[in-house]
Amino acid sequence: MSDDHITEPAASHGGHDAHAHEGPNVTAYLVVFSALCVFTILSFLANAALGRGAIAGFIIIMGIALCKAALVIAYFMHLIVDWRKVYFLIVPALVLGPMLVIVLWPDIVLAWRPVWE
Amino acid sequence: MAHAHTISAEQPKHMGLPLSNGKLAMWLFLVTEIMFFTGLIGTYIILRNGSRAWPSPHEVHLVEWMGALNTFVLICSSLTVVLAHSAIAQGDVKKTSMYIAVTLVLGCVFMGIKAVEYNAKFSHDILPGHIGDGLQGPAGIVYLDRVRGQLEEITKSKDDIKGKAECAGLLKKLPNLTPAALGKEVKELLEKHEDLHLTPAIDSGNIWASCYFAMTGFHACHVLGGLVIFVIILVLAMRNKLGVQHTSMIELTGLYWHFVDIVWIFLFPLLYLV
Repeated sequence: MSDDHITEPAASHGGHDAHAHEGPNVTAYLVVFSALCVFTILSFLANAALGRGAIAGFIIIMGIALCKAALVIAYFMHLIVDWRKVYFLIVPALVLGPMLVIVLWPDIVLAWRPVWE
Repeated sequence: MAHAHTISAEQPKHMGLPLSNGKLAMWLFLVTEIMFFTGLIGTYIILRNGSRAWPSPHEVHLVEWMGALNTFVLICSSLTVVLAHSAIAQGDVKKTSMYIAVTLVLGCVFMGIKAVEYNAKFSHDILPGHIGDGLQGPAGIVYLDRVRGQLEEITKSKDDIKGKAECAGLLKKLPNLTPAALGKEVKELLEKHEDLHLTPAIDSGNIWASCYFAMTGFHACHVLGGLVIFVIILVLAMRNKLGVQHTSMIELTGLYWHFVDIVWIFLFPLLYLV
């Protein structure tokens, strides 16, 4: 009689993940922290130098925000290790988010609207 | 009869995801939070780009360096919470408690700075529905009446209020002013005397205030939730009940806190910079 040996992965037992501290070490965290501080200063300086409303400033500042978010997600949230385990949860939200804005853009931003005389 | 014992070449099969239940649950929750904040931030982007004019940070008493300071505070707190996780995984409960305490303090600093910013809005009447905008329409009559009442109160007051004479002058001119012209006069008066209790006239001011308080208010509620969890962890530590068995709990708390940090990473440039 064949016996398919089915095992529970260690990860699903209790609350303690078997790979509780795989991934970045303290040095990596400190490097990422320094990078985040530098990026924050850069976005503040870009705003001061380029002024509010400038397209170049907008692109630089939001690009910096995306880089900061990516660093936090990858290293602090350990997604650099866990991405393959959770991508199916995160990707739909990342698609739906911009879709919300794109769907509303034509009616609210681009449409003709009355101007008070 | 002895059975031949074969060595199976098959890989053992696993049930479920290679992820703890807690982590899966936390990521599911964070995805719902992504959608929640995407709704708020997406709405802000749409409304801002759909408006003819949008208040500058100066008009609505937003101070960029305070926002940058708050960003730095949250980044530091993200570092300390991830170091706390690193420490508990190595069984160092004392270090973990220290890092969690520092994270709690930084979170409180963030809330303190937010309170100062909110006070600036309240004291200058930058509140949804209170700001004079769309003055060319029917709202202009309401604005006129409101400002008249405020000017009368200032001029009748026995306190030594800076700008009282200018308010008296504006009150005399008021019957001959359109709401839009009154808005301009009030704006100039507030530039000179910031502390006057006059409703400012700011184009798209009310929608700005609604978006600002909705986004930062919900974010602050999330920060508060995180602070409560840190207090619970510290209470566990004080009762000598915190141990390596709590590694997962601290990791999941960290995930939540990093998400709160990421939301602010986007809120700061959208509200203060661009």
